[in-house]
Amino acid sequence: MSNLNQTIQASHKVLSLLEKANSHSEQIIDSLPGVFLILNEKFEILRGNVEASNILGLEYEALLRTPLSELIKKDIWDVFLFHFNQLNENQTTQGIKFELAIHDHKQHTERKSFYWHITRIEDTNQAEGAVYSLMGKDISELREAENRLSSIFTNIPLGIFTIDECGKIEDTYSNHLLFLLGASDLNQKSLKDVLFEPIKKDLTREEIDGIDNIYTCLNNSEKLFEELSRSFPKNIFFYHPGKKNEGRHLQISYKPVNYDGLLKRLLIIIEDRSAFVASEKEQERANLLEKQSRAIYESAIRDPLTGLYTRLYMADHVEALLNSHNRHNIANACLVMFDVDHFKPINDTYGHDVGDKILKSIGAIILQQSRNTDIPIRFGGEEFLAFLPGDSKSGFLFAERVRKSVEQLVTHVGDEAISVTISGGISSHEVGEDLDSLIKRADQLLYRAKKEGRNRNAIEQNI
Amino acid sequence: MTNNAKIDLLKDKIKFLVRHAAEDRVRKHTGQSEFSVIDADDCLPGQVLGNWMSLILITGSALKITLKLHFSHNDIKPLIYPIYRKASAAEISDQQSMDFIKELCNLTAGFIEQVFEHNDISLGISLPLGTRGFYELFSDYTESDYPMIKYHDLWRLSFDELSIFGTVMFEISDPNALENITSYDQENQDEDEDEGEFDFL
Repeated sequence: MSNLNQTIQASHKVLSLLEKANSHSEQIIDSLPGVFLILNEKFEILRGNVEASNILGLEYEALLRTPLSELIKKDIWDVFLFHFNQLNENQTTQGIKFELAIHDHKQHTERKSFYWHITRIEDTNQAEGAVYSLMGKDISELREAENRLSSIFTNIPLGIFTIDECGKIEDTYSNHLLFLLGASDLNQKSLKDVLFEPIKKDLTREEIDGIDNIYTCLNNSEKLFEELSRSFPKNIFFYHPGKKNEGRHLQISYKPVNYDGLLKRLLIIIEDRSAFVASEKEQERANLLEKQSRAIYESAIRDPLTGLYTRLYMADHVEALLNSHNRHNIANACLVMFDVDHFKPINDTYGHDVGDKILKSIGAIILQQSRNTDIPIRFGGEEFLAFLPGDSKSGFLFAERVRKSVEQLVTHVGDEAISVTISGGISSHEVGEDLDSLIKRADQLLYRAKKEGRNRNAIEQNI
Repeated sequence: MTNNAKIDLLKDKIKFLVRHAAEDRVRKHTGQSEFSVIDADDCLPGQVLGNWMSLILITGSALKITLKLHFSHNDIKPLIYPIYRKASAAEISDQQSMDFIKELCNLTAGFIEQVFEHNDISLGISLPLGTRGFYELFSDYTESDYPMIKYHDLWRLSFDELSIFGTVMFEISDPNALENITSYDQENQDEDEDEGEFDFL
């Protein structure tokens, strides 16, 4: 084979490969997910892709040498032209990126947002002059999603903003923020001035140090943020000078935005906790009132000397017990009536203090012997009642336990030891019987116990 | 005749040979005798002249010719649908349109090769390559006389409103070896030439 033929064979191979490579490159350009254009110095189109053809509303073949300015609206073209001029004025800049919405020729009604990238192609020629590639990425869906998200942010009752590495407010994401802080424009204002300066005199030493720590963390490591963020002020009462009554309880949270391990931005979220704090205070007040009411009620139903229930409590609760028996919810109910034997002489001899001391001790014995279901009452003076959900036999056993305990009770007055006894009458409640009748019968039995010698309990004969 | 005058004559002869070859081939193989090759004075070398382009290399030890035909499918399809025996231009695919121009490149190059062969100058032809026109941006049309004679030509094959642009780059490394071509007579040559076969169908 001659040298010439060898050369030709070789060039065949190279050209075949080149054609295939070009064809693939062209397919890639055609299917680029965005607008791709090659423009000459007069901004005439030298090459477009499928998306460019769609957006500009011209067939591919018709794009060639059509000035781009003729295919888009003048106000939009003016922006493109501005950026082309910027690129030409600064020869060291290879490309310019910017966002600009243009009309889609298929959908005349609204503009679609594109992110554009103009690049100057260095290898230019005399015929076409400077040559540019123009790529536009359709970001309309992204912007739509952002707008949706932004509208959510804007309307949520939180104050959301970022501060830059110098601590200046950069982006605000919520209208509510302005309402919370009572400010009109926060852009580029210092976080310290906006959020903490108005309430400086109310801040603790720790909170002031925490504010300094916020600034220390900016443009510093993530680790330092983790260490210091605990000290950042998280709950403040914010108000403008002279308007403390219009103040708000704000809860502040801090979210780091890191780049390459450094805290470059801080996302700050402010929540108005005023209503919550007010409701907490209201709750506290309600709890206090309830406590006070309960104390008042307790003092009304509890005899302060003996700790037993009063007659007031008896009126409310003994009826319920007797009604349960009337309705056969319980099998039996009975009443034990106690009276301290010879109590008046003790009061007269040793004084009321000693008498009260003895009554207190007897009250404690009755309480000790009572079950939760029993209702022990100081009926008056040295008289006690105990209503029990049981028959008179169990009432008698209860009365005996009380009597024996009282019998063993010794009260010391100086060197003297005083002992007392107690007598009781036990009446069994009959279905339909009222309280007065039950008490009257118990009283009669008590009288009998006294008459029979005291320090004893009397029960109805037929039991 | 001075050496420079000889070289100018050689350059012109080769330039016009290529023009003539293109005109002749396009006339014969489209059946449109009104096709004529004319100067494209309103265009500059390196200018993007069509959306598509076919390129062919004609090379020998003393000469290299790069021939490019620039076109748009919208222009070519109405011209060739009768050749493909189709009812309308819409039935012609882009690939068929490209194949037609590649074959035109091939036939033009074959014509040129044959003329040189008759004058005892051996040349070879590459395969024709088809691609988009905007790569023309990166072509180099710098002219020079030393160490290699480099020059170019730009014309159009015109018929009615239709234009197929041609750009040609010539590189002569040994003018003496091409001396025979200066005696090339276009009129006589036409009588002898091979009719050729339009064999892409």
